[in-house]
Parts: sequence; structure tokens; C-alpha cells
Amino acid sequence: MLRRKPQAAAPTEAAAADDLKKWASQIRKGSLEMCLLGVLADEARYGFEIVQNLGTSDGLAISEGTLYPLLNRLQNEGLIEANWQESPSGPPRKYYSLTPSGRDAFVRMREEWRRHAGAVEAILARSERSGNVAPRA
Amino acid sequence: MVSQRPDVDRYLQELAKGLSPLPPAEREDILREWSGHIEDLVTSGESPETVLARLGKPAEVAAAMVEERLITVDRRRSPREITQIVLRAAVGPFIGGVLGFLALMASNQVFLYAHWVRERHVPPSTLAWLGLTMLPALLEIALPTALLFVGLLGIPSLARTLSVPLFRRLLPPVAKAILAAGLGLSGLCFVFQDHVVAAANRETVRLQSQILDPTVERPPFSPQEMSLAEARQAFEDWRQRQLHATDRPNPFGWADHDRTWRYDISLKVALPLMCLALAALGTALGFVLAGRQPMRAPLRTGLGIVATFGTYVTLVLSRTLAINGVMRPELAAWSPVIVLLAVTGLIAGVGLLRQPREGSHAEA
Repeated sequence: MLRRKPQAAAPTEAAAADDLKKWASQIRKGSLEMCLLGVLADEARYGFEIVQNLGTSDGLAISEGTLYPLLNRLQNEGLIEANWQESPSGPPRKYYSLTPSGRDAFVRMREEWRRHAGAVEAILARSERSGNVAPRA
Repeated sequence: MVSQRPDVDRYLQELAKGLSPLPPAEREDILREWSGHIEDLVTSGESPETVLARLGKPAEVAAAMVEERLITVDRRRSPREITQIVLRAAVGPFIGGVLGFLALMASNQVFLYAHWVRERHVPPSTLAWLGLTMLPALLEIALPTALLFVGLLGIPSLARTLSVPLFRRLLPPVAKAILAAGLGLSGLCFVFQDHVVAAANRETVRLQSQILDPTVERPPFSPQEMSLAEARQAFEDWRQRQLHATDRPNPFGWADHDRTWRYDISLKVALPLMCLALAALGTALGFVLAGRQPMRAPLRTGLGIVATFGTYVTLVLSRTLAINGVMRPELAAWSPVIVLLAVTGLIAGVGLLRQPREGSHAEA
């Protein structure tokens, strides 16, 4: 005999904000690799530059603890390569750049992302047009 | 790489310590990159304290880097390489356990033999042969001890050298292999005991009684010098003789003899299973003590020695309790194995309960 579940209380504002943060971080994790490859696509950059670059857009801010292991992994997978270069102002820096296979992977990721984002956007636009779910004031 | 800031230097020093499993070239590379990055952050206006706080604890950062590299290296390893690593982790403790135990027992005899050479002029060749005849009986205890050390030392050393995903994948087959070895060696010990050990013990007693007093007749055979079937038969015969004896001049002697023989005969079946029990204990302990920062090897070796000593104490205690009539001899013979298995179950239970909270094993 199944026990009826008690009705869950409506989520508090704080809990809702917490859930939103968790979901947002999941989304960010999904696109991080592609954004990193994208940042390196036009020019070679070193760690500090990459953190700054990604940090300019609020949703992509990344910590060093996440960045460097990821750079390591992409290096091991052959998608990026690193060179130490002397710098006139300050210590030598390790510059990361895309390899040909990295460039290839990035292009394919970009296509797939656009396709996926297009489908998602269609659903979102429809929900706004219908008028039942108004954007937040 | 040395900046003018002591707290940054301290951070980099701790980071270097955490990166010690990596090869020097890679370590230097990471440290250079990080010190440059910290320099840039400080130059851009943030205070060193804020920067270091945001980067996270150096031990954790280093652990993430080491784990990353281990995952990469492990992905490139061939199955043959992995098997070699596992075997190397197991064989060392096994041989060390056997030799260590034998050396310990041999040191016991060395002084006695030296005394015999001097006082009784026993030729060293006889003593060498005597030592050799004691070997099979000692091996019967040395093998379980070795299996204990295989689990206790081998499993955590694997946890240190392999990445977490690979270690978690290998742990079940490795544990099963150690337990299978325990079971197999138990069977081997049982057969070994019946034939080789019994004969060797007969020779040992013969030589010892010859050395100590050649005039006195050799003492009667004990169960340790017979096979299981022979011992049971001899015991039955003795009991039959006692039933038909008209007088029993020494009732206490009779009871002692009765209990001793019952204990020793039961032990012939229980003792080989110590291989399995100690293999299980070693596996459980190794599993519980494994982690990114496992208990250091000398401490674990000490723990193994304590466990071995504890096992020895339970054996001696059970024999005493049996002969003095406190415990049923058959139960007493089995009690060391039962105690060991109970302790193993307890440790394994605690280990399994702890697992979800431990970060190093919870991650996939």
C-alpha cells in the first residue's frame, strides 16, 4: 500500500536561487572546452590572459583551479600546444595555441553548438510569444 | 622564481611539495607557470592575500594537477603494463612477509644453536639440517602472514601510483585475486601439512631428542608429526585402550592428553584456513587505508606486525584455553580463524560506510 507523499512546500526564494546557480554552472561546464578553444582560435594566449578573456563575460568566469587542469588535458589530447616565450615586461610566459586538430575540433563544436542553440531558441521564443510565460519584470 | 613576497614563496613551496609525485621537469614547468600567473595577478592590482585565497589551498591544487597527469598516463598504459604494476605491488610484500617472518623465527633459534655448538659440540651440519626440517612448519604460518602484507602494503601503494578511476576499476579484481590466493594457499597448506610438514616435524623431533639426550627414548608421536587421518586413527586407538584399561593412575593427565589431541587434530583443518583469513584481513585493511595520502609504508608495516602478533597471541591463547578445559578444544582450534574473520568483517563494514564521505574515492 503506497503511502501518499505529503505535498512539498513551495521552494523558498533562497533555495530557488541556489538551484539556479547549480543549473547555470552545469551549462557553463558544458560549453567551457569550446569557449577555451575559441579564445585561442585567433591568437596564442597565456594562462593569465585566458582567465581575463573568459572573465569579461559574466557567465564564463573561470578559476585557475579549473583552467590549468583543463589546459593540461587538452594538451594531452593534442588539441592545443604550449610554448614558453620570453616577455620584455616580466617573467617568461607559457603561450597556448590551437593545433590543426584542435582547430578542426573547435569548428565542429561550434557547428554542433549553433544547431543545439537554434533548437533551444525556437522553444524559448515560442514560449514568449504564447504569452503564458512572461519575462521577469 | 623567487619573488619579494614571502607568502607567495611559501605558497609555491607547498605547491612544489604537493607536486612531488611528478617528474622534476614537469614540476618545474608548472611552478614556473604558476609563479608567473601569481605575479601577473598581483601586478594587476590585487593583493597577494586575495590572490592566494582565490587560487585555493596549494595541497588541493597540486592534488588536482597530479591526478590529471595520472589519468593521462594511465589512459596510455597497456594492459600488460598495468598487470606488471599490480604484480610488482604484490610480489614485494609477499616475499618480504615470508622472509621477514622466517628471519624472525630463525633469530629465535640462532642463540640456541650457538649454545649447542659450543656446549654439546653438535656439528653445524646437523644444526643446518635441523633448521631445514623446521622450515615447512614455519612456512605454514609465514604464508598467511605474507598474504596479510600483500593486502596491507600492496593495495595502498597501488592507490598512490595509479589515478583514481583506474584504481577503482582495478580494486575489485585485485581484491578477488588476493582472496583467491588465500583460498588456494589454504588448500595447498592443508595438503602440504599432511605430507611434508608431518614428515619434517618427525625429523625435527628425532634430531632434537638426539641432541638433547641420546640415551632417553624418543618421545611418542604428537599430532603435528602425523597426517590428519593418522592422527585421528591414533587418537581413536588411544581412546579404545583407555576404555579397556582397568585403572587410570593419572586422571588429570588423561584429560590433558584428551583435550590436547582434540585441539591439535581440529587445528589441522583450521590452521590452513588462516591463509584465507589473513588474506581477507589484509585486503580489508589495505582498502580502508588506501587514499591519495595513504598511511605511510613504515606505519603500515608496523600495523602488519601488530596484526601478526595479535594472530599469534590468539593462537596461543586458544591452545591454552583448550588444554585447560575452559573452552571446547574443537571450538578453540577454530576461534582464531573466527576472530580474524569477524575483525575483517568489522573493518570492511567501517570502510564501506566511510566511502561516500571520502572525496578521494567518491569521485568517478
